[in-house]
Amino acid sequence: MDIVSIFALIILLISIGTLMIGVAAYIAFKVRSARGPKPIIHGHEHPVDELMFLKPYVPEQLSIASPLLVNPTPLDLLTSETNIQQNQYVVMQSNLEVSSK
Amino acid sequence: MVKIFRWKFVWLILGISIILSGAFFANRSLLKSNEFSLKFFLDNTILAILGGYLVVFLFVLIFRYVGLLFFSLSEHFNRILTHKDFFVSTQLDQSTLPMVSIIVPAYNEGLVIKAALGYLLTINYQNFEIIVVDDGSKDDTYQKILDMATGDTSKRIRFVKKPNGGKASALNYGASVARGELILNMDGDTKLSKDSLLNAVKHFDDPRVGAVAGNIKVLNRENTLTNLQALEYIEGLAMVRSAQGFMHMVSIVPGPFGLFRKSLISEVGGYDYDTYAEDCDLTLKILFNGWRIVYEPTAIAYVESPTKLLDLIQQRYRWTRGMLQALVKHSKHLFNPKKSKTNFLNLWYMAFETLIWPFSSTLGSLFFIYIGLQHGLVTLLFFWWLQLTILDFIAALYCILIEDEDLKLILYVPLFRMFYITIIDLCKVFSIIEECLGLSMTWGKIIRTGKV
Repeated sequence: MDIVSIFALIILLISIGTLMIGVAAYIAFKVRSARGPKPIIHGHEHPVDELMFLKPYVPEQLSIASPLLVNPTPLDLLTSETNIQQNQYVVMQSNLEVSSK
Repeated sequence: MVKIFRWKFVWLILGISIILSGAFFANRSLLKSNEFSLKFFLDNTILAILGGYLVVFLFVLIFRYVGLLFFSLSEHFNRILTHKDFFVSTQLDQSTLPMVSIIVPAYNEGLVIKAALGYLLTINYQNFEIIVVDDGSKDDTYQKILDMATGDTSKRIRFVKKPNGGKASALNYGASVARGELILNMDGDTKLSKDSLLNAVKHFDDPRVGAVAGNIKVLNRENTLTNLQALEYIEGLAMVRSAQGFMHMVSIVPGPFGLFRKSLISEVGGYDYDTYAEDCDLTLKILFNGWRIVYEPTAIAYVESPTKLLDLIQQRYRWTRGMLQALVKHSKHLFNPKKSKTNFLNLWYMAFETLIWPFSSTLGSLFFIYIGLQHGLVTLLFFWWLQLTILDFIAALYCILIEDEDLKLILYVPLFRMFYITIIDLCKVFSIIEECLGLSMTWGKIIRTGKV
């Protein structure tokens, strides 16, 4: 048996073993995912947080013609920090509030 | 639409022709003899077609490696010739540089957030702020941020707490309160190199550049698995980005280091919430809006990589499905080369890496195992493995030398091809199948160990 055949046999066995380990690991991953705590669903179907936080800001005088109304995007409010600060959640700036504590 | 159907028709004819040719050539001796067997006919036909396909795949792989090496090397020489590597920090008056808002989304990053913020405060850049978005963490992340902000004498840290909404939502929220001209999006566990920001910002002198992709490296090289990932990040990711950077069309601005014009993020509508690879999706949106994206190898971001196999599979599962979602989302550009220009090629490259490669690679392993066991042609498997390993070795050696990395990583190349890529490709195949079946998925956050 020449050296190439020996190497080939070793690689054959390793390849079979690796594929089996790969399948087993994937099954273990799926089992672990199924057993683990269910994370909060976000993103795809229920962008609840975006609706809460990222309300597009539209100046009153532009409200009729603004394309933002047609296709609002999360960052349309980049021009309006005040809009964000009006909501009930806290935007803290360390410079001000933390130092005062 | 008509054009797509016309192309589908061409592909169908081509496919049938290949199958018939394979069937004829594989069975020409069998057809001449009197003892015709359907089992042998099918066996020969399938093996001939698969063998032919794998030969084509191998040539594509060689072409891919040669192409990437060529463009990556071109980028390297380009940097040398244009003095891009010249260390700028001592030459510049930093007061003229634009303000950068560093956005750090944090969800249960209690173990690493303090260290990450601590490193951020020491980077070599004057005009920056840090916006930490606590995305509804359930651990002590918020308290840790508060502690850091309290102790921060430079008053650079601002922080926001919001209910959990995912990374994309946290980054969007951070961007909406950012005050800088440029926005650096990163992960909560990322450690930046000192001059990373300084080296990345200079690219914005070119008004056509919309974003800069950083160089991601593995920090916790503590076991074989993390060392294999370190090799993968250098060979598989950095080399690709470097090659794509030469053509100004990096296909993924990585999550741990992505520097954007704030106006651009607003222009493209920020991160969308319909894929699990929000960084890939945003990058494609930027490219198809006509902006350039460049790669800065000296803008290094160190990340904590998974130390256990199941965590790694979990990460790659999300990456693969996310990239597939982004690919499907932008698939109209796959068949529109006139409008998409060079990004058309970029998208096809992504399709190759995400879809064709894992399937073909796994198919190759199964094919050679089958003919080894069934027909005794074990040496073919050896040569298949050897040629792929040689390609990996050349690419790895080049990347290690260019990146000035630890030469010991080269020793991991045989393991990389034999174990690592096989398991990763198999995981990708399963992930693609699940995505095609439309099975539900979640983000699947990896538990931090606090190595950063």
